[in-house]
Amino acid sequence: MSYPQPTGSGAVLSNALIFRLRTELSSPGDIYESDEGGLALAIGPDSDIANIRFAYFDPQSSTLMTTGTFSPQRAFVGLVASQNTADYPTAKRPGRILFWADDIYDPNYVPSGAAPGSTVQFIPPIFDIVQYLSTPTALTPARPDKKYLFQNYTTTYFVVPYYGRKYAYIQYTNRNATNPSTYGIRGVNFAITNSAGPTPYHQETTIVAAAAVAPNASVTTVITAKNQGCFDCLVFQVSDNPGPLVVLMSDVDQG
Amino acid sequence: MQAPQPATTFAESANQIQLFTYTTRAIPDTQTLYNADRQWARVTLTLTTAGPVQVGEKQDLGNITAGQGVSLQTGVPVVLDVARGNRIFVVAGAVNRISVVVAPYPWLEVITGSVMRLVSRIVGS
Repeated sequence: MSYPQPTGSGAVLSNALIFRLRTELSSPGDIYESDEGGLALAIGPDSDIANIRFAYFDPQSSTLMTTGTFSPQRAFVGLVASQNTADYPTAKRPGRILFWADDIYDPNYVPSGAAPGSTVQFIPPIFDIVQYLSTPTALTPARPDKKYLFQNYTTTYFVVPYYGRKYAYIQYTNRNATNPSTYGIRGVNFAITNSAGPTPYHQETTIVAAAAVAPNASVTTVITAKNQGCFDCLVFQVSDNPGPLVVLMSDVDQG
Repeated sequence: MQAPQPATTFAESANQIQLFTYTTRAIPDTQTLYNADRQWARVTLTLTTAGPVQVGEKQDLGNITAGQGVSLQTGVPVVLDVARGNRIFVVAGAVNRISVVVAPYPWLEVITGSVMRLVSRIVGS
C-alpha cells in the first residue's frame, strides 16, 4: 500500500462517484479503512482476494461493531455509514469502515519438499474493493478472467493467487531444444501457522506431479472446482530452462 | 439599419441564480449551508454522495441521529422555500457533496413589501 493510503473523503473531494482501494497485499494482517459512507461494497475487478471482510460502527451491537463479508458472488448493497464523529468507547478511536482479507495469505510459505537453495517467487495477491458513493446502477461483482504469462525464469517455484477461482487452463512448453525440464503443479490452501517455522498446516494437493518434460513438449492442464477442488494459490514447480507458462483463470467453472 | 446587438449587461445580482456545491465536513458541529439574509429564495438541495446528511432550520441540529432535521437521500432533490432572514443548517458524519441551487424570489420581496405598506396604511388610518 502506498502511503498515505487513499481516502474515501479524498474521492468525494475529487468529485468521484466511487472510492476504489487497490493495493498489493503485503501481509495477511493488513487492515484498510474508509472515512466515507457508501451505498454498496463490491469486489474490484483486479482483486485476487475473493472474500473481503468489512466492519463498521454499529450502536446496536454490544461491541459497537458489526462485520460482514462481500465476495464475487455477493456484493453488499445498502448504506454503510463511516460514523467518523462517533468514538469506540475504550480506545476513543473514531468510527471508520474497516476492510481486510478474509482469505488467508502466507508470504512466508515454502513448498514442502523444496530443496535447499530453491527460490520461491510470489505473485502478490491484489486487494481491490469498490465503495459506491452514489447509487450503483448495476453490480457485476464477478471478476474478469486473469491471465499470467511466464517466459524466462530462474526461480524454482511460482506461487500464483487462486482465491475463489473455479477454473484454470494451464499450458507449459519446454523450449529448450536439447534438455528436459522439470514441471509440476500443486494447489495449496493456507492455514494460520507460525511464520517463523515450518508450515505443516498448509494443505497441498498435487495436481501435476513434478516430472521431466521433453524438449519442445507441452503439458496442458485444466483445473476445475469439481474435479480438482478450490485452492488459495497454485504453485508451479519449474526448472531453469526457458519455457512459456500460461495460466488463465476464471471465476466461472467452465467444466 | 443595424441589427440590435445582444445585451451585454447581466441580471441584477439580487436576481441571479446561484449554483454551487457545498462540501460538508466530518465534524459533530452543525454547519451553515445557506444564509437567506437578503431575500426569499427557492433552494434545491441534492445529495450526490452516500451520506448520511441531515438538514434543518435549527442552529444546533445535534448529532446525525438526533432527528432535528430531515435526511437527504442520494440523488433525490429537496426543495425548500426559504424566507428572508432564515438559514439552512446541515450536519454530517463524513465529507459529503451537496448540490445547491438558489433561485431568488425578487417579486415575492416586492409583493411582501407592498402588502406590508398596505397593512401599515390601513393600521395607520
